[in-house]
Amino acid sequence: MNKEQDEKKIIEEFLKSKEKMNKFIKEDLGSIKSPIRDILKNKGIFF
Amino acid sequence: MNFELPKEQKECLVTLYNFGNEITNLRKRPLLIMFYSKEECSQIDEGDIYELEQKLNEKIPEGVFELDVCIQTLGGDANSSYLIAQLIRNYSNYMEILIPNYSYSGGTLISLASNKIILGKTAKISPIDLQLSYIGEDSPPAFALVNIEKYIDFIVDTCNKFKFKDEENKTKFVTPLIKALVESHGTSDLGELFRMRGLTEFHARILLMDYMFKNETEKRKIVDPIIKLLTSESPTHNFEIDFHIAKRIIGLKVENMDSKIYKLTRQLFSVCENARNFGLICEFVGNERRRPFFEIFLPKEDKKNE
Repeated sequence: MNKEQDEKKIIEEFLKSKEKMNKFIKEDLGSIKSPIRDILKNKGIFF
Repeated sequence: MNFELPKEQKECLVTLYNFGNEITNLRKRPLLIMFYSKEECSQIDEGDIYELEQKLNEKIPEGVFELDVCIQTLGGDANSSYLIAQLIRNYSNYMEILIPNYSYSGGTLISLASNKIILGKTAKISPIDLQLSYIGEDSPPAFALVNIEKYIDFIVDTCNKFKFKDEENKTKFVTPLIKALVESHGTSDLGELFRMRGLTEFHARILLMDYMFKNETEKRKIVDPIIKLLTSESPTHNFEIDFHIAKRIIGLKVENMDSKIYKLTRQLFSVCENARNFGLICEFVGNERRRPFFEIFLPKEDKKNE
């Protein structure tokens, strides 16, 4: 594979992966997160 | 899908991935990059656990024997940091953490799940002490549990210094100071902080005993003093721990980073900052959370087997 094709592949894979993750965040993340964590987060306990 | 990006953004991404691949090939094992921006709303958050799980399932679904984790973070949610550490260990039998610049608080807790921490010449970790941050405008500033403990130490030291042996004098001196503390932070928040301290120590103990000191015979004797030094016996919440303190004073398993890897990992995170400036990574999700950047690189021979 030449340099140009390599670079094209990097960008394509990055954008595909990003789109997949955006879809996951939009459609699935809300149902996985536990409501109790939001209560803790609202108390703002952080490291 | 439109793969068109401006030229400088393409160059930035290609540079980032080239650095990742170069580090991976030099170290000859898979590499997980965990980059959290320095900007607001970039703390370690519960959502990161599931994003990371997606990434691990996508790239190394069966797990790997050895894994490098290169991390940069200012810290974040205490429970999420612990769960992220355990999640990574579900996918790797042996793990080394690479820290070229810093990995504070929650990031330090994640590092405790490694077999070894590899620190750059100027790299820093921090105590895993808790602080309470109030959310919203006009909120009071964050305060750390260790600062409260130091305040209490100050009261006790002062009583001793001025020889307040008489109980009435001691009470007259101590009561307004404790009252001011409770009025300032509230009883429930103070109680919550002390309760969470126990939890943080518990998390740190599990990680150190199960991973970093797994093969030691008297684990508890080694681990308990380390936890004290990283929590209640730490001078301040913002105390920075370099290679020498981490190794000689605290007793963690740390090593100096090879100069070539140090240069490459620093360059990698510098390019990550550029990619964030372009809006390519670490985007906002809603108004409250900025995503981290997670990526996994595989050495050449592993790629062929994909």
